[in-house]
Amino acid sequence: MRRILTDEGILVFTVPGSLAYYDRELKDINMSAMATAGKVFAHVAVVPGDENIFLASPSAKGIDLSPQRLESRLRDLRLATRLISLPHLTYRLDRERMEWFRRAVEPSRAEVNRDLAPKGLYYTLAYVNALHTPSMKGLFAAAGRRGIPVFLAALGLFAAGAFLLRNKHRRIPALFVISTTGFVVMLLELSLIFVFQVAYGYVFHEIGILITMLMAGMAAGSMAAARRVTTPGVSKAFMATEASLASFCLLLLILFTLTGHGAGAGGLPGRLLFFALLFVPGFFAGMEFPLAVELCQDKERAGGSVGPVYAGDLAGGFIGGMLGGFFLFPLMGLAMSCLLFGALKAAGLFLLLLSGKRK
Amino acid sequence: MRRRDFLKVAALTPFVLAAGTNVLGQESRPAFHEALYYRKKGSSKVVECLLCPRSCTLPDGATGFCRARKNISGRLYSLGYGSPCAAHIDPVEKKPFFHVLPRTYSFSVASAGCNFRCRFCQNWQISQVSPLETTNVSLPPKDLAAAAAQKDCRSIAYTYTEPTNFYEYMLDTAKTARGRGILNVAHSNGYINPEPLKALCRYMDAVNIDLKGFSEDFYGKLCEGELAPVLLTIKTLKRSGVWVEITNLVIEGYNDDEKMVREMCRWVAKEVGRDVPVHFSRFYPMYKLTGVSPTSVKTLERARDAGFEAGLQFAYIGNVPGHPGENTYCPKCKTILIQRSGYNVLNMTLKNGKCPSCGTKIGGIWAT
Ligand code: SF4
Ligand SMILES: [Zn+2]
Repeated sequence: MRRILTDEGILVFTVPGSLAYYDRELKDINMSAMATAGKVFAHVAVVPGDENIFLASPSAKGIDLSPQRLESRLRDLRLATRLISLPHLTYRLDRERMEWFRRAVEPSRAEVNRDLAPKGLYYTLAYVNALHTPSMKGLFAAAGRRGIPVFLAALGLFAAGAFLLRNKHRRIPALFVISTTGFVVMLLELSLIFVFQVAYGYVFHEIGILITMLMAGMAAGSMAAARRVTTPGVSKAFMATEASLASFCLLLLILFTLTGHGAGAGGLPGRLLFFALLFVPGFFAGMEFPLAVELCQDKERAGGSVGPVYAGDLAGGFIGGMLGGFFLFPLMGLAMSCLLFGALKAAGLFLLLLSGKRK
Repeated sequence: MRRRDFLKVAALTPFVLAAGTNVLGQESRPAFHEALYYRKKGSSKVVECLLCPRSCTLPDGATGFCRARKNISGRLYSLGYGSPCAAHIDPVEKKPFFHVLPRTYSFSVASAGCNFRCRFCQNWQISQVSPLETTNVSLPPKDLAAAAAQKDCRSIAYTYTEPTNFYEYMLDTAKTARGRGILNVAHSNGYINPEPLKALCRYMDAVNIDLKGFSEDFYGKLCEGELAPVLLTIKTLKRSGVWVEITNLVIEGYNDDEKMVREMCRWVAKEVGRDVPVHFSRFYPMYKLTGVSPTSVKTLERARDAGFEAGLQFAYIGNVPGHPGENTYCPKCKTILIQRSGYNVLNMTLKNGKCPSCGTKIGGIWAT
């Protein structure tokens, strides 16, 4: 925005507001908008109302909120308006009210919204949640404050459990790997769709293709692995896919960090890159599935291992889908999330290595 | 001259305090105050609230439907007494009152809670929560009246949420304010029992009642409320000598049916009085009713015309700043008596409550 605006240009956008009271959610959403605009533009002003009008500009000259001057400009331009009159401008642009607004939102600690660390998304979700499901306000607030550490601790416990119990049941390592793959791949998909939106601004036009690419990857991966299943290299192939997924997460981490400001991704080549990036995790997830089934194979009941493996995969995906969009991406940012995914996959690889050695 | 007057008034701090401001009061925990209207049920600690027609029966520890009243060990308490979550200085026209001391300011307060659940609520952040969930400031009745006087406010408005929730606070403040010559005005949904209402009427000068629609169906579906008690409130207020104005928020597809609007206007003209101002206010998508478009000006004009046809002398269009339907015209000779734009009075020719051209007396409170 700043790049395409001239020095006296103004960026105008609205954020929900109130003329009576600011609750936590409303404070946060406005404070985050203010901090974000303030990060990019030297001058930010807010005209309070039921919808707050934010004005951001590189120069103070751009934002002239003197009712008298605005009115005389209207007259000079011979613009006849019904709503915009001097009394209306005086009322809307009242200094005291602007001050009141500042004081009302000030206690908020809301942070800057960035393309790849969309805190604003969390504040908006919290606001919409307060509107429709106020009974969950506390949960949302708590998740905002302590959600990430709690989630990391839970994940750590889950991993520790898998490591400790790896010899108790021979299926555990494979199930750990497949459920974390379900989790990671779901979130990699979400993150790529998210970044596509950031880069192009219109995800809905192509969401079908994006999702299909992941599915195509899974199909191709399953086919490729099916061949391996008949050979004795199942364990090795499983470890290799796990290593590949971990590396892929790190590759995305690097990509996201380098293009952190959502640099325009170009035309067709950029799109093809996105399609390819979605194909890859799908491919590895597709590969892991038949391999995991093979590793968990029940001697007596052929096919008895499909259920747990499939359930693990879907459960991981479910948890990822629920937590990712609401909390992980907004609160941790996409790059940090990729680091976490990479770590999870590295842990999976390590677990496979350990349990492989025992055998 | 007009303009300078206006600017002077505008500079009079339309907004005085928010949570944490130091102009008035300190941030405070809500103070509890025993409710005036309730009864114990049997020998247990169960109580029944008698303040509004909802008649909540509350076991020990339970909170009423309005979230503003709680049974603590068999006694009912109002939770928001003396600690409003919103307190601002607004033009009295914003309430809206068009026939009450135009061009003056009203010290407006609210504490959280409401006994309705309107899906189009404008202040849902405070109306749909309890005083225990909001940030409040300490402003006991005496301090509130003093602050209003100090800020040159000619009235105190109990508004933003449903003032019935903080009935005791409103009543005590009203008594103090009256002693200081400050008017008491309220904007309410009218969902209150007759007995507490009558006690309040002794100190209320003007009340604007939201007549949200004219069918039980609308009240039930969109507000989780009832129409009949609201109509009774309007009649009781008028009979008690309180100045009454009515606001009808027109929502297309919900309450703009021509027959319904006409019936409502006829009811007001016949049962309450032809001089009762009715504000047909423009709806903007709000709260849970965001799938409905803002009301078209045509629909509002049609409603206003229906009002005049039903015999009402003062029908207004609200929330459309600059519309001629915001002005007050003499019902007899049609002279513009008060010219408005939004909350601002641009010109006022009304003299001593009378039309300067034909001398017709215009209902309202024009002087104190
Ligand atoms: S005032 Fe509140 S507690 Fe009392 S009856 Fe009405 S909703 Fe229930
Ligand atoms: Zn006249």
